[in-house]
Amino acid sequence: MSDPTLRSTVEDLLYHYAEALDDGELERWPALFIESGQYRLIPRENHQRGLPVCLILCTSRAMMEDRVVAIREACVYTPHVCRHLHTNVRVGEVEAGHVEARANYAVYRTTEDGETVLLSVGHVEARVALEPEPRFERMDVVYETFRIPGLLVYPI
Amino acid sequence: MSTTPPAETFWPWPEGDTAHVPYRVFMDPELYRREQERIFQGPTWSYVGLEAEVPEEGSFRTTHIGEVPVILSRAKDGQVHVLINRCSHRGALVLHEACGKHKRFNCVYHQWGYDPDGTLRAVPFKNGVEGHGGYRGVDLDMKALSLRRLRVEVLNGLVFASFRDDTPPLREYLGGVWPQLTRVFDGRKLEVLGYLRQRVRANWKLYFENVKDPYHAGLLHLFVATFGLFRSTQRGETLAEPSGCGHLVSYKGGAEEHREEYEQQGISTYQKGYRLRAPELMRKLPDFKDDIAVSIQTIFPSLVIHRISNSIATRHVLPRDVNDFDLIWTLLGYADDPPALRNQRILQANLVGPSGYISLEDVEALEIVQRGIQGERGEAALVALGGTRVRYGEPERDLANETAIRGFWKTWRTLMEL
Repeated sequence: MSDPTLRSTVEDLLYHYAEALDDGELERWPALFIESGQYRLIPRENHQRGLPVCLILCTSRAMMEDRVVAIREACVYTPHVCRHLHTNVRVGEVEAGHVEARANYAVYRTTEDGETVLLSVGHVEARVALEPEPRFERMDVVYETFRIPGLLVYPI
Repeated sequence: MSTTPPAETFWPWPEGDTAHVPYRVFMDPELYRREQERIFQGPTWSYVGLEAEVPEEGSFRTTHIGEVPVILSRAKDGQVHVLINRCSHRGALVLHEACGKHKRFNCVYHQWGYDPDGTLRAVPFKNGVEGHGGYRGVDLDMKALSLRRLRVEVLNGLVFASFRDDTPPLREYLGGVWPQLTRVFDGRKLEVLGYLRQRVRANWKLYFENVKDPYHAGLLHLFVATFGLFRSTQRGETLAEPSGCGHLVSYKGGAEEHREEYEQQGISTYQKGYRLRAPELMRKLPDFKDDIAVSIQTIFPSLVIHRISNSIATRHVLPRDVNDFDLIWTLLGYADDPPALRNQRILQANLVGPSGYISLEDVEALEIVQRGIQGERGEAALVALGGTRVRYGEPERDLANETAIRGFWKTWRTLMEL
């Protein structure tokens, strides 16, 4: 059985993560990673077959910051908001100040005309550095909705 | 009650009008049905996949040509085949998995079994049960009941199929696209690095227009304009062939060249101060021995191939409905790539696909066209950039024209007999 305190620490981090992406404070998203942190958004079919291509791959926090600037300044898309629901959170044992965690997610996308669609379903596999404060060292998001409806702008 | 006609109607499409494309062609379900017959099952070569995706005997992938379900398979003798994925008995999909490997392709419905080359081998209870039923007294022609095998051509790992015997040989069909295409598909062993897929809410032909359109490339895409991959002022060329195939190529200019024109015209997608904190994303490692920055080949009616910096991919275009198509990106490298180059190809997948810094905007552009033309009553798009002429086989050597788009529509009209 996993430690409830540890699990709520990881849950809090995940909820902050979701809020950063959903509530218009994208700049806070990279800040939830350590500097050498890695983010991968992986289609399930590639994950299953061991193929390396990701939909979004950031090999450092700087690359995540570039993604945020591109979303703000460079990319062209119909305005919309996303809403993350994280659930089924599980954490492993603490090892040298790190913990592996897993959770399921669903993300809904709402456009300016009020239409909501299910954008993505899947799970996350994360490694969290607990000190000095909890930060993601690695976040792998495996998305099952691997035929994306239209385009995918915001990270999941 | 009188109705107000539109100011000028382009439908029926006036004979010989190359400067306009009536919006009707993106909206009309009747035209979409006609395309299935005249284009996808017509005298064209459709892409079905890569040889590398069916490496062994019995390996298969399922896909579509237009709306028709097909199987790409490899038979015992090593040959690749393209079969219609429809059981000769009652029409069920013979294979309903995306990919896999079976010695025998068995329809789950009544267990009719086929070899990977389509030959019908097994019909359960063919001779009935205890002298009753079965096909006794019925002339069951096993050969005629094999899966329909389409005509196939393989070009350095790319597999194409055609429903028709009178489709010109692939090499002729490709025309001037062949030299560029065989730069990327040069016979080296390919490695599939992964797939990205998206469902686009737009008519499939808007995508073919988009990849034949150099005008938008330097205007819509901040990334390519800012990083000097593609600007309307750069050296480049577009080409259209009578088959509907074509290419669009831009040559390297320094990132600082030609920016004055962009600044003078106030083009918002060029940003002088735009810098990356992780510039390694845009690094281009030595790859091909030429000075091409971006190279896009279109093989009508189902394939686009790109080379953008170190990223190489096939983009498979699959119409699903008059208003929808699927776009499947197969990201590639070569089996002999050094690790650093392989990693760069993987990293630069960030530029393409449904979240790509470059290509997410293309899908946005297509979808806003599809939304914008709702309620059309004979209006048309204007494609007169660079004049109204159509040129086949001779490239335009600038990037401020819509000649390849006009060529594409002339091909479409010819095939559709419209």
